[in-house]
Amino acid sequence: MASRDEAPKLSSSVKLVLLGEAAVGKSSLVLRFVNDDFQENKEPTIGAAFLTQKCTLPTRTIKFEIWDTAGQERFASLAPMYYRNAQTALVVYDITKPTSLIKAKHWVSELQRQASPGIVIALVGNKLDLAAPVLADDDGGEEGGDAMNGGNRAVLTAEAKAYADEEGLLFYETSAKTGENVQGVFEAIANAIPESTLKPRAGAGGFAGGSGRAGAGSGGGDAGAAGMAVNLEDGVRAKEGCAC
Amino acid sequence: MVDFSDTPPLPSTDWDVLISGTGIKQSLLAVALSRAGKSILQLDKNSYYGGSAAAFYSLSEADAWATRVNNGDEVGFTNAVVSNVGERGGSGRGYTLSLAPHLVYWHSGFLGMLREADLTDGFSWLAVGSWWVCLTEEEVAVPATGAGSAGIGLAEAGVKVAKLASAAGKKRAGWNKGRKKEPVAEAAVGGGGESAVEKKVTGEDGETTLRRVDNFREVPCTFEDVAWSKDLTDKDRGQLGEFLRFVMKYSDPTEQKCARIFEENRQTSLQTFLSTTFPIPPFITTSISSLTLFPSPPSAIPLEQALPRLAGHFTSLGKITDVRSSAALTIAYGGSAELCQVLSRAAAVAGGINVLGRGVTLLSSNNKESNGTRKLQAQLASGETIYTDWAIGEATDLAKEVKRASGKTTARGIYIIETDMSWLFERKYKDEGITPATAVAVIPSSQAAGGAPIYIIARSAATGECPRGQCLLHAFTESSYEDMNTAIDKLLRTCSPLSKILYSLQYTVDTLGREGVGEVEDGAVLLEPVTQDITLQDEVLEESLAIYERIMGTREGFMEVSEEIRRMKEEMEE
Repeated sequence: MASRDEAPKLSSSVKLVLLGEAAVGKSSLVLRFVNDDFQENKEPTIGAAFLTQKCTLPTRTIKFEIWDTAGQERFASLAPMYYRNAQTALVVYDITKPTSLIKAKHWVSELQRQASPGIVIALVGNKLDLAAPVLADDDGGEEGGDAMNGGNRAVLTAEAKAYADEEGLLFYETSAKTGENVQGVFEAIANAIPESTLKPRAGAGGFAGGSGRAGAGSGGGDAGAAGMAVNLEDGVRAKEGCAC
Repeated sequence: MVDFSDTPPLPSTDWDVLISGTGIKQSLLAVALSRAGKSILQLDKNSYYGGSAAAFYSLSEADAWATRVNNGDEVGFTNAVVSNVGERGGSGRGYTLSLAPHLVYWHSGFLGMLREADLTDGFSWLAVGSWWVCLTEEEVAVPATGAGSAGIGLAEAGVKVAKLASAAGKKRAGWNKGRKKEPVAEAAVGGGGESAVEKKVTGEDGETTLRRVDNFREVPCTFEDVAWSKDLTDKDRGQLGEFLRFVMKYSDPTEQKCARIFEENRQTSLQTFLSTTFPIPPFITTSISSLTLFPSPPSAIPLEQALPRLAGHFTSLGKITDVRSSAALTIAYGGSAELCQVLSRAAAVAGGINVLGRGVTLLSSNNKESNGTRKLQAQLASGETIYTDWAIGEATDLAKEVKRASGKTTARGIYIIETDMSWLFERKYKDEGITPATAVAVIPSSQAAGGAPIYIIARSAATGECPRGQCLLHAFTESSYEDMNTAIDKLLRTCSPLSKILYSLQYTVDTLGREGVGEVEDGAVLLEPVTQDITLQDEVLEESLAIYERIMGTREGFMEVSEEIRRMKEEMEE
C-alpha cells in the first residue's frame, strides 16, 4: 500500500478485539472497514481467527489484527485468551436498543478488569443510519414526530458520550451500512494508541508482533518478546523449501 | 469467565454432535468436526475452559478450585493444600496457575497436526531448555558396574551390542572426535559467588563443560555434550554414544540387531539395561532416565516405555530454529490450558457453539419419534433438552458413572517463587537466538530409598504466568508432599540469597479407570480419562482421530481448513 520510498515511519501490528451484544453490528463494522462492504443478513460468524487491515496515518502505519467474537459472547464463553495482549477494544452497541448500551457498559468494566492496563477502548454506537431522519421515507412514521426527530434512535448521543467521557473512552456513532464514521473510528484508535506500546512488526507471520507486547495481561511477564518466542511458521516454510 | 447472569437459550435443540467438556481432546474434536461441517455444541459445566487442563488467573481462583477439590467436586483430584507464605494484595492477580503446563516435543504428532491445521500462530511458543539433575559428589563417583557383574543373561547381549557397535563402528570415533587429551585451561569461576553458574568453557577444539550449579548438573544431551564434554570419561562417552545410537535405531526395521536386543529386553528396566548392556555409571543412568519424564525411578521403567520417550527427545533435539540445544516447546500463558481456549475459539470460528457453565445432567437414547430422528437426547443443567446423534465427553461430563482405578496417584504442586532463578533459563550456547522459558530439574530419590524422583518444571516470567522477577515451579512425583517440599527446597538453596516461596498449591491426581471407555451406547462416546503426563502425548491425538473416523467414516480432512477460508487468509496476507 504505502510506497516503499517513503521515509520509514512507525509501523506496528495492533490486536483489536470486538465486544458487544449479539447483532449490534460488530462483524458488519469490520467488514465495512476491511472490505468497504456491507451485507444485510450477515452470518454471525466470520470464518477466520482474525482479519487484518492497515490504517495509514501521517505519523504511523497501524496494521490492525481484528478479532471478532465468533459468537462466543452469546453464551459467556469468551476465554481469557481473547482479551490477551489486546491493545485496543471496540465496544459496540446499537443506538436503537438501550439494553445493548447496558451490555456495552458490562463489557467495558470487564475489559478494565481483565485486559492490559493501557488498553484503548472505543465505545461505538452503531446503526446510525436508522436514527437519521430520512425525509423521503419517513413521512408519517411513528418516530417522525419525536422531539429529537431521531428515527428509531433510542439511545441519546449525549447520554453515551457522557458515559464515555467519564470512563475515558473514545466515542463514535457509526453506520456500518452507509460507512459513516467507520474509517474515523479506526483512525482515532490508531492515533490514540500510546507510542510506548507500539513496537515494530516482526516477521511475515504478523502474529508475533501482536502477541509480543510487553506487560501482558494483568501484570504478567512478556511472553513472546524478542529472543523468547519460537517461530514455527518459519520452520515450516524452511522445511517446505527443502522438500521441493 | 464473564457472567452477565443471564442464560440465553441455545440457538437450536438439534445437533450433529454434542461435546461435553472443554479439555484438550474435546476441544480438538470440536474444531475438527466443526471444520468438517458438522453442527457442534460444545458445553462445559464449569464457567472456565479446560476442565482438568484449566488455568487459574488469580490466586483466589486457584484457592476456589482447591476448595472444590477438597469438597469432592473435582473428579480425579483430591487433597488440595494451599499454603500462603508471603503476603498478597487483593485477589492475587497477575498469575496464571495452570494444571497443564505441558511440554510439546518438536517431533510430536501433535505439533505437526497443529501446523497442518493452520493453528500454530494462535500461540506464543517458547523453548524448553536444559534438564538438570541433582546429584551429589558421592553419587557421581560411583563407577559403572560393567557388563560382567550384574548382567545375568544380559552380558551376552552386551557383547553383541559391542560387536554391533564396532561393526557399525566406522563412525564410532564420532563421539570422541574433536576431543583432545590435554584439558583446556580451566577458568576458575564460581569461586566469587556472584554468578552461580559455572561459566561454560568452550575451547577452540569445541570442548565444553556441562553446566553445574551446586549439585544440579546439566544432563548431557546434545552432540556437543556427549562428544566433547570433559565431564565424561572417554569410556563413558563411548558407552553413552553407543546407547544413543541404539535409541535412534531400535525401531528401525533395517537394524535387525538393535531390534532384536530391544525385543529381548522389552520388560527389562532402564536401569538394568543400562548397567549391563551399555555399562555407564549409575548417575548417567539417572540423568538419561530423567529425559523420559516418567515419575518412576529408572529401576521401575521398562525399556519398552523408556525408549519411545528417549527417541522422541533425541529426534527433536537440534531441530528448533535458533535454539539447537532445545528439544521441546511450551505454550505461553498456561501451556495446554491456553491450547484448549485457542482450540475452542477455532471451533467457534468454524461455526461451532461453545457454552460455558451449562453441563449435561442426563444422557439417554432418544426413543420418542416425536423428537426427531437423533439417536440421543441430553438434558442440560439449564433445564433444556437437546437431541444429537453423537455425545462425546469424559464419563463425569456425560453424567455417567466414573470408575476409579486402584492404581497409583501422582502428587503435584505449583509454587510461586519470589526470585527469577535465572540460572535455570540461561542460554546454553552463546550463538543461540532464543532464551528458554522453561527448564526441567529432577531430584532423584536416594538409591537406598528406591523411591520415585521428583520432577520440577520451572517456568520463567517470560511465559506471562507470573510477574517479572519471579518464577513458577510445577512439581510432580509419585512420592509424598513432604518429599516434594524437600526437593523444592533443594532447588531453592541453589539461589543466593535463598529464594522464598510466596504461594503453593499441592494436590493429588487419581488414576481414573479406563474400563468402560469408548462407545458405551449407540452414539455416546466416553473419552479416556486424561493422563497426567507432563508432555502432550500423541495418544491424545490418536484417540481424537479415532473418534473423528468413527463419526466421519474417514480420517481424511481431520482439522483441515476449508478452501474458502484458506483463500481468505491468503488474501489477507497480501
